[in-house]
Amino acid sequence: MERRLLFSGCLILTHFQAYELAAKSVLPHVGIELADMEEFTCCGSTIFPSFSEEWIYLTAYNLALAESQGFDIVTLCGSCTRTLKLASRTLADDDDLRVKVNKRLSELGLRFEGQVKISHIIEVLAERMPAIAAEVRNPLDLNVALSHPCNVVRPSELMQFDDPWQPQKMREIVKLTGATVVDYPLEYECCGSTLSLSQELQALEAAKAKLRSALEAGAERLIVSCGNCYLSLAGNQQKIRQTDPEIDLPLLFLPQLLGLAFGIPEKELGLEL
Amino acid sequence: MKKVCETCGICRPCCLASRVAGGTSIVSIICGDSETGAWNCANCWKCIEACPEGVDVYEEMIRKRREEEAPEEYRKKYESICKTGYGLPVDELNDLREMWGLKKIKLIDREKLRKLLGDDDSGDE
Repeated sequence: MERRLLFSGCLILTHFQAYELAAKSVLPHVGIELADMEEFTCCGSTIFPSFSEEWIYLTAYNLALAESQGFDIVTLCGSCTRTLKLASRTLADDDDLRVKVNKRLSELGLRFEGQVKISHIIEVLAERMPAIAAEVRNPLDLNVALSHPCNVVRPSELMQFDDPWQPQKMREIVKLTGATVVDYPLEYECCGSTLSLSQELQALEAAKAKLRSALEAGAERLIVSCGNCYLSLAGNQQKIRQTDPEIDLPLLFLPQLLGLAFGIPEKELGLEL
Repeated sequence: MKKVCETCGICRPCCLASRVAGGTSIVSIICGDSETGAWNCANCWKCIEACPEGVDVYEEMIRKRREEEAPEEYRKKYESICKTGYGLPVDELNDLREMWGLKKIKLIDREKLRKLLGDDDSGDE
């Protein structure tokens, strides 16, 4: 069993405990044990850099924290994945900045050397397809649509994973569960979650359009693997139904779907409290 | 070398914010036809993917944002990160975790965060 640190990020930490629980229940079935990353902070996302150059200290701190424990990082959100990878590359490429950052990190007994690998849960699972196939005990008879986390694949020159326009890895993983993946016109469209921070109504419209598109294609569940996608596409549904009552599509986090196919009890997948 | 926008507009049809938020997205600004809206972005980065010149729209956006007034939601989250280390409230976090059957987690303390974000008196900077 390989041990890795879970970088859950603010959104999963504070809102989506079910996603964390499901990831921790499912990954051991494919050989990964997820340990808590004590004292981690927000990755900074695009929020901190929008105000201050100091974002690099925040993100580097998290990388150095993982490095001090000697384990690679698993992420559950797109934005954390991109931000951590961006900081890791920025620090590796800029010797002066690295020296400056390490000077401050040394006050906390930490040092960034660039030794930590950062992988989103889709990347982890995509490397373990045979193990996933071998764990399926209850093949699922379900029509599902997928929402792909933008920040796991774009910008491709940084992320270096999957097709940046039409990502396929989540589809390959989900197909192993027996579920039928339905194509829908807005499958590769962004969920609009972050837009809600500046344009709430427009973000709502983006979520509504995406949900309607998936429903019209016959989806019974929408599968997501990012806290922002869940926030936008599940969190907005109640509001959307006030004017569009037909928009009713339950969501599942990717490890919840896998867990159901693996025969893991629903309670361990955060599906009942 | 820094890549410069040639205002070809290839990024426009890719941009969620531009299509649903009335054409005042970050790509409009980079294409040179709007003075507002550096915050209207869904962070999907299709514009970066589409750009034939390889312009780093993210860097441009961040630079412009630091010159502009921020929307309230962004400012609240930034202030929360500076204060607690997290963009969302963490007050009752461990009670929630217990309810879900998750182990309690230790969060960063204020002293460490203060050292990390450089607002101590060490003379660093």
